Amino acid sequence: MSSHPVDDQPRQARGKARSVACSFMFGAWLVATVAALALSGYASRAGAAALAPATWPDASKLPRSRAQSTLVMIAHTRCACTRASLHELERLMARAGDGMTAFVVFVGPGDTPGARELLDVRDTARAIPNVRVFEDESEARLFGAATSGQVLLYDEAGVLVFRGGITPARGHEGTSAGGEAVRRFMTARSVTRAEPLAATSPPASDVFGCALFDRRTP
Amino acid sequence: MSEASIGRFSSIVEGAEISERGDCLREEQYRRIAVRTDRLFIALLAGQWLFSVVVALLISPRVWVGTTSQIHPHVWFAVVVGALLAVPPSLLAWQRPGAAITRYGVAIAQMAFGSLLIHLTGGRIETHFHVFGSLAFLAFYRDFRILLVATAVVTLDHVGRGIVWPESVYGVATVQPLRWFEHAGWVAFEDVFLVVSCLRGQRELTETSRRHARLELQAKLELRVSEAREASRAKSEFLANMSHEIRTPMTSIIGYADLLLDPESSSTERLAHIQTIRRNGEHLLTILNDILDLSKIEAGKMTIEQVRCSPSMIIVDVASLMRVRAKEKGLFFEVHYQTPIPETIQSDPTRLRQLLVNLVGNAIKFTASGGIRILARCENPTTSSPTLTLEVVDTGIGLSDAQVAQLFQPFAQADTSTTRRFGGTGLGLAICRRLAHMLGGDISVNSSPGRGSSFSLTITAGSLEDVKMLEELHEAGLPESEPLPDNMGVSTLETLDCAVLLAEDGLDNQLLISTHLKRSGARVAIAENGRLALEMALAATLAKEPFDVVLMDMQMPEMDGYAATSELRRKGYTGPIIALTAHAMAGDRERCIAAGCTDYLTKPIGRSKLVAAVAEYARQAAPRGVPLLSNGMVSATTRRASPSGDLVSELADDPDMTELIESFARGLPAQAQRLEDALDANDREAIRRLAHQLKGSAGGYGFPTITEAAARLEQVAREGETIAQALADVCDLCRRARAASALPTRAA
Repeated sequence: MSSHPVDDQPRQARGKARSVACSFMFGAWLVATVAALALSGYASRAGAAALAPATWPDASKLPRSRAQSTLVMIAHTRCACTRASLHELERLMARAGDGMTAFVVFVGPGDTPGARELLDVRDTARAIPNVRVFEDESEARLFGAATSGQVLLYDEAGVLVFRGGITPARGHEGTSAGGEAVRRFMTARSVTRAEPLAATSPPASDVFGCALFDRRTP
Repeated sequence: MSEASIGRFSSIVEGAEISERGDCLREEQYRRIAVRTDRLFIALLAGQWLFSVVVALLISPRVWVGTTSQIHPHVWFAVVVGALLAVPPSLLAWQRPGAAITRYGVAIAQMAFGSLLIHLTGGRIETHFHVFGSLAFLAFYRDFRILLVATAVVTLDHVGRGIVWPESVYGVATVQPLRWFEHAGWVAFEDVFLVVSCLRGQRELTETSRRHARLELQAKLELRVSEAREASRAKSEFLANMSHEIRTPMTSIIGYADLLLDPESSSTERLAHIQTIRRNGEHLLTILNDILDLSKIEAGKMTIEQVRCSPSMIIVDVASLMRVRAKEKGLFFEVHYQTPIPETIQSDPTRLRQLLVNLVGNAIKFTASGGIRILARCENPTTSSPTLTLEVVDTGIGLSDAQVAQLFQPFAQADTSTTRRFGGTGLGLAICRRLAHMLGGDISVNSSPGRGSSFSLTITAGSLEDVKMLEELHEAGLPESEPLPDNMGVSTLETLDCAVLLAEDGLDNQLLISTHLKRSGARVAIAENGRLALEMALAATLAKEPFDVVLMDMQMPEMDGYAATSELRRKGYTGPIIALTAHAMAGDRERCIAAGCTDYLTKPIGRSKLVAAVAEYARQAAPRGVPLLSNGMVSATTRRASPSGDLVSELADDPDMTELIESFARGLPAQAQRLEDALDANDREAIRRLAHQLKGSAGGYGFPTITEAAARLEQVAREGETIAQALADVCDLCRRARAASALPTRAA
C-alpha cells in the first residue's frame, strides 16, 4: 500500500531527526568507550621496577626476622593505588598467618589535614596483623624501590625471593601475578621449609602505582 | 429531542467516539508522563555527572610522582565522559520532551553512567546496584522497550569490558567466561518485574483514559442535549411569539374583511373597515420584514457594506424624515454636534440609516411631551480606531432597570401593555443591536422611568486620515430642518403607456397587479404559467409587437419563471423581464438575475414601486409600434361568448370585478354541495352557518338573489322549519350563477 506523499513529509522529518540524534548518541558513546580504553591503558601501565639488592641490605634499620621470611612493601602515602596494594597485602598476611613478617615503608610528601582525613593509609597498614609501619625514605632507597606498591620478599636467610607489585593494575585489587607468586612461595615454604630457595633469579612482576621519588631526584 | 433519540445518540457516541477519544487522552497522558520523567532524568543525569566527578576526586584525586602530583586521569575521565553521557540526552529532553528518541537516549546514558561509576570505584560490587536503581527509574516511563534497551547496554558493556579490561567492571583481572551472563541474568531478573509493572501501568493508563473519555463525552452529550433542548425551547418560544404577533393583525384583517362582506354595511363603514385592514396589513408586513431581517442576521446572511459615506447626510436625512412625525405629536426635534464630525466614514449607510430611524422612531413613539435630540460626536478621531456615536435622547416614558435588561431580546418590549399601547413588533431593538455589532459597535441605554431615555449607538468609523471634520451641521450642505417630500402618495404615480406581459398564476395577484398597471395606463396581457408567457412573449416579438416589459412570477406551475426566463433569453429575447417573487432571502436576487431577469421585485408589491419599475424599464425599452393589446385586461385563457341570464352578477360590467366574480362563481357549486351534504346529515347548524356565509358574500359579488335565498334558508334553519325547499332554491341559484359565469361575458 502506498502512503500519501503529504503524510510522508513529517514522517521523513521525524526519521531524519531520529537518525541525527542516534548518530550523536552513538558518537558520544564511542568517545566514552575510546576514553575508557585509553584509561585502561593508563591503569595497566606499570611503573619502574625496583633495583632491589639480592640480599637484605646491611644498612637497613628494618628488623628482619631470621626465623621466617620478611616482606617489605614500599608505598606512597598519597598514591590512590596504595589502598589497593594494602588490601592485597592484608589478604596475603591473612593467608601467611604468623609465618611471615611484613614492613610497610611509606614515602611521600608531608601530610595535610585534608589529605589525612581522606586517605590515611598508615592506619590501614597498622591494622594488618604482623605488619609494622615505617616512614623512611632512605629505607626505600636502600631497597631500590621506584614505584609505590613495590613488594620485596626475603627468606629467612635474607635472600630476595620475589620483587614486584601485588595488584593487577593501578588502583585495582584482585588476582595478580605478583600476588600469586607470593602465595606460591608461602605454600612452598610451608611444604619444604628446610630447603633454601634459589636466590639467583627471583620471580618478579610489574608494579602498578605512583612514582615514589621526584624525577629530578637521583 | 426525544429521550429515545438521546439514547440512540448516546450509544452511537459511546461506541464510536470513546475509543478514539480514549486513545487520544491516553496519548496525552502518556506524553505527560514521559515529559515528567524526561525532566526527572535531566536532574538525575546532571546529579550523576557531578557524583561521578566527586567519586573520582575522593578515590583517586591525584597521581603522584614523589612529592609532586597532578590531577588523576580518573577525574578527567569523570568530567569528560560524564558530560558526554549527561549533556546530549538532557538536550534531547529539553528540546524534544516526551519523544521516543529522548527516552532511548536517556536509557542509554543512564546505563552508561552505571558503567562509569563501576569503573571509577574499581569494579566494586556495590556500585553495580546503580544498574538496578537505574532500571527502576527508567520504569517510570512505563515503556518496557526502554528497559530492554537499557538491559542490552548493560549486557554489552559487561561483555565488552569483561573481555578487554575485566578489572574495571568486575574488579578482578581474571574472570569466568560467563561472568557477564550472571550479571545480565540479575538485570533480566529485575526486568521481569519491571516489564510486568510497565505493562500493567499501560493497561491502567488505557482504562483510566477510556474512563475519562467516557465522562468527557457524557458531559459533552449532556451539554449537546441541553443545548438542543434550549434551542428547541427558544424555537418554540420564537414561534409562539411570532404566531401571536402575526395572528393579531391577521385576526383584524379577517374580521374586518368579514364585516366588509356584510351587505348591510354602509359605504362609510366599509371605508373604515378597509383602512383598518390596510393598517393591519402594513403592520403585518412590518412584522414579517423584521422577522426576515432578524433571521438574516441570525443566519449570517445579512451582508454589511463598507463604503465611504457621509454621517452628516444620514443624520440630516433621518432628521428630515422623522421631524414630521415629531411635529405631528407636538414634540421638538433637535440635532447637535458635540464634537466635529467627519465628512465621511467607512460604514454601511443603509444600515446606519436604518438604525437611526429605528432609534428616533422609538423615541418619538414613546414620548408624549417634550422632544427628541440627536447628539452626534466622534471619539478618538486621530487614532487608528475612531468611533462615531449617535445618541438619541428623549423625554419619554423611560425604562426601569429590569426593562432595560430585556430590551434587546426579540419580542421583548417593556411589557405586554406596551405593545397594546404603542404597537411595534418588539424586534426593532434586537435587530438594531445586532446591526450595531455588525458595524463594529454597540448600543447602550441609559434610562429611568418617567424621565426619558438615551440610546447611544457607537460604530467604528474607519480611517479618518485626510478626512475633513465638520464643525456644524450646515456644513454638510444640507438643510437641517427641511422635511423630505412625502412621495408615497398615489398622486405621484407615473403614467404608463406600454404593453406589459404579466406571467402570474395566482388569480388575486393577476387582478391586483393588472389593475394597478391598467389604472396607470398600461396594456396588460396575462399568462397563467411560464410556458404560456414564453409563447406569448415570442409570438408578440415575431409579430413585431413585443411587450415593453415582462413581469415574471418565479413560482408557477408547468414552467416556473426561472425556466421561462432562461428559455426566453436563450431564444434571443432582449426585452426587460422583471422577476416577481415572494422570496426575500439573500441570494434570491442573484438567482433571478442569473436566470436572465433584468430586475427583481418582492411581493407584496406596492403600487408605486410596481408602476415606477415598469415605467423605468418601459422607457429603456425600444419604442413600440402599434400596441399589442387594447387598454384592458385580456387573459390568455380561452373565453366563450357570454349569454344574458338571471344570475349574471350586477357588477359584471365592472372590468375590475370580472375575475373576482368568476372566482366567486366557480366556488358556488361546492358551497351548494356542502349545503346538500349538511341536509343529508340533518345538520341544521351547519346549514345555518353556510347560509349565513353565503348571504354575506353573494351580495358583495353582485348576486342579490342568492343573498335573499340564503337569508331565507338561514332563517328557516334557525327557526326549525322545513328547509328542503329553501335549500334547493339556493343550490339551484348557485349552479345557475356558475353556469352563467362560465360563459364569455364580454368580448376582448
